[in-house]
Amino acid sequence: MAFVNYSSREINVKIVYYGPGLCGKTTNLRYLYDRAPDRLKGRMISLATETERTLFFDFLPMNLGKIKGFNVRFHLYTVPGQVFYGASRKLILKGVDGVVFVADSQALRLDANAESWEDLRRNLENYNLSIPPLPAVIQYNKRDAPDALPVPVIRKALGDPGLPEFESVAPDGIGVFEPLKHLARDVLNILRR
Amino acid sequence: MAIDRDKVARNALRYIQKGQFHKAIGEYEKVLKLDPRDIRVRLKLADLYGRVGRKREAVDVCVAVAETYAEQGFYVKAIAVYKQALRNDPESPSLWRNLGEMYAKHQLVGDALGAFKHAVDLLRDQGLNADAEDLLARMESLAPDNVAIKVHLAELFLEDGRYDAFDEVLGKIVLQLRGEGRSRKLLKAISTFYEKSNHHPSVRNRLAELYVDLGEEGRALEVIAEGLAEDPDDRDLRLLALRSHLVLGQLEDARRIALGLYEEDPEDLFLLEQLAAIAQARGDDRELASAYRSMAKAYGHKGLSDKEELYYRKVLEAEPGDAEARLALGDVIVDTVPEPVGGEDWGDGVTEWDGSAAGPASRDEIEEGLLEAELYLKYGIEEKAEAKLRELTELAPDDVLIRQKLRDLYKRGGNRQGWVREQLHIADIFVRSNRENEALRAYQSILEVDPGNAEAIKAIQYLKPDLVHTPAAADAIEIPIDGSMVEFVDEEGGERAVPVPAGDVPPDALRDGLAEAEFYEARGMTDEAVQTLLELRDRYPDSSHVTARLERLGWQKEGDGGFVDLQAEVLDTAGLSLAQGFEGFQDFEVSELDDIVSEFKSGIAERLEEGDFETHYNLGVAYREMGLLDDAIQEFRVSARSPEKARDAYASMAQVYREQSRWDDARAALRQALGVPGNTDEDRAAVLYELGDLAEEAGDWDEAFQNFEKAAALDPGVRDVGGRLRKLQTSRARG
Repeated sequence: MAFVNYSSREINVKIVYYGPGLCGKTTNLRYLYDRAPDRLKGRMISLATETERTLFFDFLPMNLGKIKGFNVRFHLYTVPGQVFYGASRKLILKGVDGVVFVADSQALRLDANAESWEDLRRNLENYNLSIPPLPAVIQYNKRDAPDALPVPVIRKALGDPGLPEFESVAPDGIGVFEPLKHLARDVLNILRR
Repeated sequence: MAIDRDKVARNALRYIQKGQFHKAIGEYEKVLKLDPRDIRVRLKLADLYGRVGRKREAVDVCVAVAETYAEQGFYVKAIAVYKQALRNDPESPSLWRNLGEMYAKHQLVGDALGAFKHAVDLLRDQGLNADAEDLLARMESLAPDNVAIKVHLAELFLEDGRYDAFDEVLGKIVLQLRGEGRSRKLLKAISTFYEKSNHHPSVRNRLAELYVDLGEEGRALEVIAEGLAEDPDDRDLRLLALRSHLVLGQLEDARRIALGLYEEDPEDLFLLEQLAAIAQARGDDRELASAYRSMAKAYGHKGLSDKEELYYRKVLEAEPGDAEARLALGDVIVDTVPEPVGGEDWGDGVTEWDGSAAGPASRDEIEEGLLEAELYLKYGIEEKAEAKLRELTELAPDDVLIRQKLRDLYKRGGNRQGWVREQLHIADIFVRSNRENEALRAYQSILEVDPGNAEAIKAIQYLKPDLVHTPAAADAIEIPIDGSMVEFVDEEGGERAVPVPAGDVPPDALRDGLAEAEFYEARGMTDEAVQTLLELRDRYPDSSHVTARLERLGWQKEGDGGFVDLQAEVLDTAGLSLAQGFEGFQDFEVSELDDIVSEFKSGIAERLEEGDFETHYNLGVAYREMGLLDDAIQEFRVSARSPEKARDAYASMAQVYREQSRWDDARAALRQALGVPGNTDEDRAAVLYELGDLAEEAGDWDEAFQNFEKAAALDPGVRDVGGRLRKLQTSRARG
């Protein structure tokens, strides 16, 4: 649930990029950070391990202007994808308003996608949340991989969740803004209600 | 008779489509008889066996195929087939283990550990602890820095009563956590093991050592007393008791233990040193001379004549008429021995460090320079202080005091490199002054800050070659006491001053700490001042100075939470704590989380400039959103120093305090938000509304009404202020 601070007149919306290890979550955030105008973004906080894996979380704050006199700030997070860091992922999902699930299109990672989706579902249950009604979109990343699986195959592995879908090649910025824009719209619609 | 493979395959497919799986199996088995190596057919059979409930056969076929793939180096395919096997037998530890091995072969360490984790869980459920131990050892080889794996392994050894193996793993845990400066976490782990092991002696000794190292001598003595009740002759425990009594100023107890140990080994120089220190602190010159005399003899027996002479000189300082010392030194030397002067240094030729081992420069010159540097520090001119201290190091390169001041200056300024450099100098001076224990400790503290420091590692190996295996034991042998009145011991986050017993003389550490707090306060760095004072309060809980200063800075006891232990916070957040044991992998992950959060915070602290208030604010929001509330408050506090962010930061702090039910703190934060210069009427109205809301929640209707009224006066449209006022009016009218 978005944090509303009446004294500072801020609405903080929490968007989490979820997905298996090395699927491109941090790449998404980096691209957004590189391309967003300075006035819209804060400093990106990102720490990586020696093997370039996300440590704890990446964090990118973005200002989306005002709604009824309140500054709307979108906080974009990534989770560490490795199977081992379940507790971190659970903690980061606390108070989530929307999820971008980044699936890895490579054939080898099909099971990893399914496991990560299941992990997301379980962790959300922990906070009495589920998709839907929690807004979420699926981004099929690495569409340029030589062994990229057809989208329907990945969708089926995820249990055909019936969510808005986007194909992407995150390092090139293809399909990076679209899922976020779509999700932001869904989240803001809920906030307005 | 030849079989038409295509025809058979078509038949099988037709049977499958009709759901006649048994017939399909029959068809594929025919093909397999012709070519038993046909992997595609074997996998189809495995699938069909699974569908008809012949799970065991399905698994067997999958395992055989997966092994073939693995032998050929097709690890990805092997992974897929093991997963297929697991669908038929998800409770098989061996399948999970094999899957983990395939992941490991494919360099997917995280996935490998995840699969192994399943296997370990299943093995433990099935009581196959030995296999679980093997697997944990394998996991450890994959992730040697993962302390949680070691903790599990130790726990299993403990459950099986394999104390030697347990102790070996515990040693590794101790080495790793101490090396990373995570002594508090280590304490939790060892405390848990102590309970689980039914107070096993080896764990008890480690626990006592750790308590001593952490400056919790009182608790150490409780553990030691329990151990000595079982084994009164335990020398390690008695040495720890000696050290604890000394730190606590319990000189008679310390003397009694030291004498007992000394009787067992009259040439133990360490004990003699302690006896001398105790005698000195008690003002007993006769016993001091006796201790020095024994030391002189011991050195004489070792053939170290220069040391022998040194200690005979010390005998004469304590008892100028001592015939044995005079005889040993000879008349000519005796004539040069000065008369002892109370409180003066040890005299000529004595290499004992008195905190002011100045070189060619005069002491006055050094003192004057130090005073000047102090003044610079007091007024926040750190560059000048540093320049002065550097100048002094050139005048007196071996003066420990100057080096310490410079080192502390770097510490305050967050200059890790400078800190390490000066600490290396200090350690080197100690080495050259034959003060090996202090040197060792200084080098160890360097490793806590800079774990890979080659110079420190090399020096430790030289000074204490066995330290690599038994670091705690190495620490247990040092109780240096000198004239400085303050003993520095290692602690998480830096050094901690421990008062050394010496009658009524006020401890320097307290004075230094108060001066440091004053320095921060003068610069408007209230948080740092409060933190310094809180640290002092831990060491000097009865100090009225500390309490008064804290109160002056607006600190309240219940507001202590701003400086909580991160680990406790994270563990509490997760609803688990190490003290509850290490059962199940949930705890395993929580332990990992603790490590990750710590690593993340220190990584951020390194990269983030204090002046980046916007990012501190954002980080505060991030922590708050994760429920890491105290961390959030710390970040908001930093950002509140910025005039631009102050109102938002205080308002956010107030929200967090409300979440913590800390109403007074919330009110104080809102008042600070209200007082921020540059607030518009709208800003003030929004904050006043919050104050009203808070007062109403606390049951103070009058204050609530006043605040709502003020808010409405400034901005009649602020939220539902009109409604709130009407409601309050009604409530008040009804009494």
